[in-house]
Amino acid sequence: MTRVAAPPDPSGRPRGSRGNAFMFGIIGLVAILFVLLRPGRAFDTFLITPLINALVFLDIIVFGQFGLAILLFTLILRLATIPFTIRQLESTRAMQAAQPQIQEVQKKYKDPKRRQEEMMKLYKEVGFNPLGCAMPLIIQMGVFIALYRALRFVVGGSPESLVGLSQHLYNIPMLQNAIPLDQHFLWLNLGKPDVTYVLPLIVGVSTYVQQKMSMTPGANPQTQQQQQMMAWMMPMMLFFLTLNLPSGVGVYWVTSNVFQLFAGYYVYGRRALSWRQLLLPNAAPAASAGPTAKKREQPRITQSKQSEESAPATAPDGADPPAARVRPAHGKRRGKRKNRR
Amino acid sequence: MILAFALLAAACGRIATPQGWAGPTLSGDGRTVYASIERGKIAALDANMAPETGAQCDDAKDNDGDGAVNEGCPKAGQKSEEGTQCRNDTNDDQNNGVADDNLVNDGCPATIVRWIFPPDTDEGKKLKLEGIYGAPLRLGDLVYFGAYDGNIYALNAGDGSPIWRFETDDAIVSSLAAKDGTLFATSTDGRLYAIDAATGTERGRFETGSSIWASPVVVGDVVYVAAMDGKLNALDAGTLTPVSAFSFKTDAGLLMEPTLANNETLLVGGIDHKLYALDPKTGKPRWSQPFEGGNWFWARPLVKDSTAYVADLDGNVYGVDLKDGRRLWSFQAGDSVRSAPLLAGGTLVIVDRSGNAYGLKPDDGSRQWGPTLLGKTVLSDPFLLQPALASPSGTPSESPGASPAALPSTTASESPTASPAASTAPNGASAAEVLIVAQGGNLCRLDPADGSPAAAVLCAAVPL
Repeated sequence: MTRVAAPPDPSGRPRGSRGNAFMFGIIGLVAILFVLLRPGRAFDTFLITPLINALVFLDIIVFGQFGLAILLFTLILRLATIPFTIRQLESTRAMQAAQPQIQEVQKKYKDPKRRQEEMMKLYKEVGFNPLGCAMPLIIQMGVFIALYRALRFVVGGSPESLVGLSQHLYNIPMLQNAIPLDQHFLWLNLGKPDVTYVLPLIVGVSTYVQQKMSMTPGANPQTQQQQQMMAWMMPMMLFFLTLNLPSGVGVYWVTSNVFQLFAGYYVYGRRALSWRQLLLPNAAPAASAGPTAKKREQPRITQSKQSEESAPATAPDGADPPAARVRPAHGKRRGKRKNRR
Repeated sequence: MILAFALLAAACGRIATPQGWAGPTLSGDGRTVYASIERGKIAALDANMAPETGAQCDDAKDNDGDGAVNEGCPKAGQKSEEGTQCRNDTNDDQNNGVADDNLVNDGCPATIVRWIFPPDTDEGKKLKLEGIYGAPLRLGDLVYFGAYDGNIYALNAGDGSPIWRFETDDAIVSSLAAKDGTLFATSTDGRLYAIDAATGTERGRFETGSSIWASPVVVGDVVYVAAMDGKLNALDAGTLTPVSAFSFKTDAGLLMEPTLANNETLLVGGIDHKLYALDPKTGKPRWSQPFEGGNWFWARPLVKDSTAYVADLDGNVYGVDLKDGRRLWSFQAGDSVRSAPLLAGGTLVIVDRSGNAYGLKPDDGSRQWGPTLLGKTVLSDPFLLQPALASPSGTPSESPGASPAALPSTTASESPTASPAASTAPNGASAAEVLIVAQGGNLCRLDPADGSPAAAVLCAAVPL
């Protein structure tokens, strides 16, 4: 059996702790701002208003093509958050590769508390950070909501939204003179839902592909079934949402998904985007494929024979003997080996 | 998380729909108010919103002369009359197949809807007007208005039946103007359309090359069209060719309906926070520098003598000297003001977006009363409703809500809210009331003297 482990952090601190500290710092800062100001006002002042002005500024840069401005904005945002995105994808990949160990732990430890502890240890070893996955999602959600609200004002499709825009636009002549923005982009009216179903369909398909690419294989049939349901539910939900939301939000969503696909290609490699991977219900993505995978996975693969040798004959918590013989690569001995290295 | 996300998005989705902010208009005979009391719908209401009372409810007569019988009378028997039963003059409520009472229109609301367009029929339900932003225009037997669906509608003023429909290429967010049987309409498709008012056929069009949000204004033989590229176009009303002597352009979009003040100054404003006073013949600025506000100017200014009253979207209300553009005073409302100021019985009435109504002294801008909290979003122009106008003696030129350009011989002094009829009530200012259409269709009625409710309830939905 092979095992995938994360490389040791040169500083000696647990892997991901610096990222976690940074993340908690940001969350803390945002929380303080929200407490000092009213949440609605803070959201408006620090997110909606700058976003609106940034969008109008980008619109000026791309010669009044607001669709291109949204596209450009999305790319800038995704590039700015690429460390989080790569980290999330790597976490997912590590999770995918560690599935055998996870299943072993789940089989071996019946006590939920102990199992949870062992799982956390395993997560740490393989470099999977549950919070690391949450950060890009939180950013995505926050930006999505802010962008939706910004679009309501900028190309909101109603004169009422223009009244609202007047409250958010900075008093800079260049920005003021750009109003109103052209709502038309390709076949879309960015302020209104796309009634041709084309954009919602693209949103749905791209979401499906992106989800399948980063899906972690389920530990058991029940989880796999749930994942399969989710793989369809999320794209379907976004399809129907896009039918009712301004097309500008759909443009953002598609651009974001395409970016995520490229990022996935970088991390997982080409196999992650194969037809087999996308169409088969439980096809596991190539955990060790891709440029970053080749670089990082190879040295971390170790034989678990040592672990098996050190496994106790009977598990103290009553785990099944065959599973108990296979000691997962974590715990005290693992720590000693790390120290030796 | 997904569920929360879905709920959030669904909730947000509802907010983006255009609601409309058309102000009310009074018919020439003063008996009917045309107002958008529901999103994308227009209704004809009896102008006398006071109910019949006491012995007036016992007969089947229109005792108060408002065209409705026994409106606002209490319920008799087991059932009230309702809906279309209130629009006829018969006793037609039944309980278990037998006549419920012997009274006509008992339990009907005080404000009677004469008709509503689109009607609640299969054909009417197919029409989606989306929102109505410009005040309706009554000319002869027809009522005209433009809707956000890009169409201009002509309806029979008597029963609301459609006469004709004219299609433009984009949404209409402005009022119409008229001169000598020709309607002038602007659309966000960037064109000014000249339309035959009787038949709805196009007589001509002018392409500005930019979106148009402001209403056109006819002054003499010239139509003024303010566009979002910052250009104020002056066109010959007959040929729609540009007046060569006139030229004005600013860098930012013009939102405000051009307003002619005292026959000699044209006021325009918009996104650059500036109010411009121009020579209507040449477009040359009359002030050494434009008046600078705190935000966009969208509300139509009110002109009285040598003062212009203007409001911006930061909630600032200004008294501006027309001679030199000097600020005389300013007042800060609680929220953006998109509604035009209204002069009623010596009180300047201001309503902000959050529904705060204020009564100011026109001389110095000091507060007489307010804020009276309407509790609704208000973006429409308030309207002065005077009982004196409810009599047949009222003439179109006395109609405060009618667009000045709608009248055949529009002059500067006929600025709608600054008309003499609006500022001096013949039968006493206390009898007049300010009518405000809030978003969602509620009608709010205020006493302009002190801001108190002019009816039992300050704001109420009109039962259809």
